[in-house]
Amino acid sequence: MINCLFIDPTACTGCRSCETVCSLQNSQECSPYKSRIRIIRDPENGVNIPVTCIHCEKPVCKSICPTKAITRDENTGIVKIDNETCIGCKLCVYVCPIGAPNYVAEEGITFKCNLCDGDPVCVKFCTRNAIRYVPASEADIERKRIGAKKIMEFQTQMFGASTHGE
Amino acid sequence: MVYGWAGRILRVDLSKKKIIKQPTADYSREVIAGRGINAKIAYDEIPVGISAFDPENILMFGVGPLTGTSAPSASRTETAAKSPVTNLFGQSNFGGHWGAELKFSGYDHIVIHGKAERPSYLYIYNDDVEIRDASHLWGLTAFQAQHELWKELGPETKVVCIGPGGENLVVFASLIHELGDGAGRTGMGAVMGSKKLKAITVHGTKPVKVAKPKEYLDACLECWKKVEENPWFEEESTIASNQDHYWEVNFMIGANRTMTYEDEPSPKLKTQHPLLEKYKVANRGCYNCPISCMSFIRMPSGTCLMSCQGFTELGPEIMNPDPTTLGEAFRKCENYGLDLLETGHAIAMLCDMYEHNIISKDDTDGMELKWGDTDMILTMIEKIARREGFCNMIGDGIVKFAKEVNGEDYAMATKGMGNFCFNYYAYKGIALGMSVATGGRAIRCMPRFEWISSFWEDIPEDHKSKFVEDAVKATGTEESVKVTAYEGKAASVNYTDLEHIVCDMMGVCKWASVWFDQALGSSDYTRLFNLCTGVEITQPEMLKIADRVRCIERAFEVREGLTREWEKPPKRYFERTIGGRYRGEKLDRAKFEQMKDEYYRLKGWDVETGIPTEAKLKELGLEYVAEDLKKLGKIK
Repeated sequence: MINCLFIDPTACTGCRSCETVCSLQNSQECSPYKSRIRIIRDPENGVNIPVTCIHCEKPVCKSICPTKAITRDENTGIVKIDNETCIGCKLCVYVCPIGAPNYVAEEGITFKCNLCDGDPVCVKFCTRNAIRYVPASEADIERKRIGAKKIMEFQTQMFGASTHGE
Repeated sequence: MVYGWAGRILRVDLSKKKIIKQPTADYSREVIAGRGINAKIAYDEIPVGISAFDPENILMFGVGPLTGTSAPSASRTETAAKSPVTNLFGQSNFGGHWGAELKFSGYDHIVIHGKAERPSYLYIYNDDVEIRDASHLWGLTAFQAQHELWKELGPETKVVCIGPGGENLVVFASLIHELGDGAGRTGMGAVMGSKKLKAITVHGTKPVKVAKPKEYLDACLECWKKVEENPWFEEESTIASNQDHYWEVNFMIGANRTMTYEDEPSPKLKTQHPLLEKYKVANRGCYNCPISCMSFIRMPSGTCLMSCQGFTELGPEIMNPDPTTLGEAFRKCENYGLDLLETGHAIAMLCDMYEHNIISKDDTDGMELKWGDTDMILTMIEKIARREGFCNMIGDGIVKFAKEVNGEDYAMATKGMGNFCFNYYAYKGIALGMSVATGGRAIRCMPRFEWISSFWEDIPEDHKSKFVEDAVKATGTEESVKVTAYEGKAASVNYTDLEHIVCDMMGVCKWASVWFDQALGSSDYTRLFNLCTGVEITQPEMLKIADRVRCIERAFEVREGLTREWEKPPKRYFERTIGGRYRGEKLDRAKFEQMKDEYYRLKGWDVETGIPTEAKLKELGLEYVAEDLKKLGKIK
């Protein structure tokens, strides 16, 4: 089953707990620079965008990696970098369309989200459900539901809410 | 290897243009961090009797070992200096993302001495620390200055700065971070302005190391869930604090001066909800917070953040019935760098005085002062920040102004600072807490069991019996749960005070703990502290350190002349009564003083003077403080 992180930037409050717990779980320290997910914040306009690896089916990072440190698991869809094989060349950092990998100078290698091997810790802490772990084929439904929400609220008001919950 | 703490204190002397880095270990054993280090350095190094604007005053920014980690709401910075408002211990706390960034740069604390020759800002990027020229920033509002600094230094830079209020030495000027996280109370912004320091910019890429990463992460998740499952979580995570509800339930506007005391709370003055409905865009969160209580709002004049304080002071206290005016006043105070609360108190005092002919148009540059008048409110905020016309005198503080115009009874203040908006007529414990709190910081001594029980109808049934059990355990009596009772309040105040200090040493936000009816408490923080730092202390030891910090703060204030006499609410609360839910209540003088006796006794302080006894100081390892106070004749 291929799952993915469904990210809803409209729900993100910019608290960055995902950064802290990711780095703590995966690098045993708290640091945004060792986190495999980052929140790009614009405090003046109140906008927050979580950016992390989206586990492409045809990962450019995998193609470019000179030591074949990057692999993709066919069953889970998880793309990961093997720490031992990585030489820290940073080619993956440069070619990724969204800048997901991050080179960590202190370690001399590049980190990337590996979905915590199927149990992502960022999801556990995200109070606003801005990050959810969902079956990849249903990710669009999540987005469509968010997009339709306002219209649904309006329609519900017009028609009257159901009584089935009572 | 240091865990939790970054390990270094940054000492900056603006006069000598010197920067040194000192080990945090010089202080951490005695007072841990944050508010603890502030207290110790203030006591040891700020000369007694100076003016708060003298270069010898020391301005401090302290975070805790948990700041920047995955502990709930691990975002807070505690600032301190001698306060220009009270001439006692000044302290104020702010959140956002600055404190965590300071840890990522490798520092636990910044200590600022002296005064720069010309406008400067302190630049920090990991190990690079510089005092830089800020002449291009001086005169800009807080939001403008940050905008410029982000252009110059990049968007990852975190800034704390002052606005025109701080530059112009308005005594209640604030420190501002991003678009509204503020350290407002006690005038820390004015102290920063007196040092000609416009901003401190921080950017860091280092990790915070954790002693037991797996156990710590698990413990953090447990604590996280506790906060999310707390009964007050839903309200707090949508609108910060429900001021409209408090207005109704508590008639919080006991500080409202002009209403006759037969009045019922007016629904017209419930402006928080209409404001948020009209202008709120979304919730925003401080670093690593499950609550994300702040509201990002878009007013006609621009965007800003609002969190838990200011709705009352810029709304009902000044009889402002208009949500748009509330939002614009909020934004203006933040942008100009003024304490929202003291600004509200000042405007209320002026309107009260004008209404009762203590001042007239002759004293207000011809301006007519009408309660709730939008133009007056917004004009006055700017005039105060710029010290223009008659508002120049307000810049010296409401107590000084009131003395100048022979209207001292109209300055509703204790120990020099405006009374936090509260129903002191009815809430006996809060009246005590407000009076005895360090620096006049009422909110830090709000007795948990009294405050929370005022929302008895909101407390879930399964929570009620535990609540009463906790109250009896902490205070010895069920009376402490009754809002209008005097019994058990001293213990209740002390309980909250110490829990508060623990949070302020850890560098975490009280909304995840104290003000959420202890969603988390000192036992949780002791556990997190131990796992994070690798140090092993017990909860009683943690509370003892908190008590030590409290006594150091107390000694500082005693040296500055604090006496028992100063610690009381204005006489209005003893002489009049209030309407609303607690109709007919007022403070009884003798019973109030008895509560104080009980508090001092409980603290191990001399009952007659309110000064820590030698025995108590020795118990807390503060022999040197006892010696000082003996030399000064404060202790026999």
